[in-house]
Amino acid sequence: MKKLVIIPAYNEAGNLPQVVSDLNAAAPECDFVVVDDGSKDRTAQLCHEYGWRYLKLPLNLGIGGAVQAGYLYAAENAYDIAIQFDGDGQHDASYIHRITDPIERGEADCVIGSRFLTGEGFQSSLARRMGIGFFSHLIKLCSGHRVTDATSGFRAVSSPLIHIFADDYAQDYPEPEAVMSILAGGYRLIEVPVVMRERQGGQSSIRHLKTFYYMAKVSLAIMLRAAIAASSRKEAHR
Amino acid sequence: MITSLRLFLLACACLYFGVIGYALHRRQLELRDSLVWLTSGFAMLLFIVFPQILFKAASLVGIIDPTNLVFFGSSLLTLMILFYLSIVVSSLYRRLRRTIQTQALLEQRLRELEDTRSTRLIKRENIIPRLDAECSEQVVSENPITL
Repeated sequence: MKKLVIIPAYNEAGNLPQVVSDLNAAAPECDFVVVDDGSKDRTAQLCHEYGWRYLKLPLNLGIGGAVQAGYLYAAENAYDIAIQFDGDGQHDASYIHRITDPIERGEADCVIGSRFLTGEGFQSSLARRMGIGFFSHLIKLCSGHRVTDATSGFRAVSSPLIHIFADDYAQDYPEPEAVMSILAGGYRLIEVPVVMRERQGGQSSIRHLKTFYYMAKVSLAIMLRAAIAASSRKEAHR
Repeated sequence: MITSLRLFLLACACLYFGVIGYALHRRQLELRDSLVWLTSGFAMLLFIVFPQILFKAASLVGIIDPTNLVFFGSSLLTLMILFYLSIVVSSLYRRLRRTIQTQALLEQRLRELEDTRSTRLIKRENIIPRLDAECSEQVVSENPITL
């Protein structure tokens, strides 16, 4: 099976060499593509010097647009599995097989690496855990499925979802919304326990006043996805 | 209505049309997007020339002072235009995003092709050194590709 690791990177020149070498050591059979999301630092230059495969977005699109570019690449090059892997060193490459194996065995269409299943490793701050818990409840309410770590950006999807995401992927804090769209589309989603590190560099994009925007936007997006799915199911019944 | 007020409003409406016409003439505004502004201008003209319409409409919907109908109507129209513009911006952003992504994919492919081409040229140069080196130099100089 052809596997592609999508590494969205915005100003991650400091972290990328370590991230890529970990990746190459842990999963040498996977191809990877760095998506340079209009970085202001040497991210693209670095990719060029190392001879990595990279997409250089001329303008900053945000994480959603960058990841979607990766999915477009995966769709165009007929990959069977796409893995999202952060460029900031939060994710541990040694867990890659844990999230791709269920897809290879045909047991799932999407596998999310969850921090909270075993509670090991960096567990994020209390406020963030509360937010994640809220999304978890909201998704359960809208879809009937329990997802413990809907905000985790460490995930793998199968080929049908690659094509769906290449066409339509959530923007601005896309992870929980993408989870909802997977569940609403009737795809099989499972979670596996992973250990995450605290970010090794850079700063989270969700701070201060943005928190309110983030909570409101993501909640609304989840409910909207659920409503659209419900209405299209009703139409299909007719 | 007082004649001097109507004349003043008429002058305002003419200025309004003047500004729209100027923007159209300078091609700052697409004709398609000017329709909503032109229509609102004609509505203004209509109310200035026949203010009775306003009085009648105000009493019909139960507004005592027709001026308030004008304010209400214009703010409603403004809201509608803003909402329409918001839709336009959303759709433009969606298209821009797709354009940027496609461009990045094409640029990556171009880079990959250039890399394979230059390695192929190097391999060929090793086989037929002099002749081919000259050819490849020509090819490169004839097609200066700048990124």
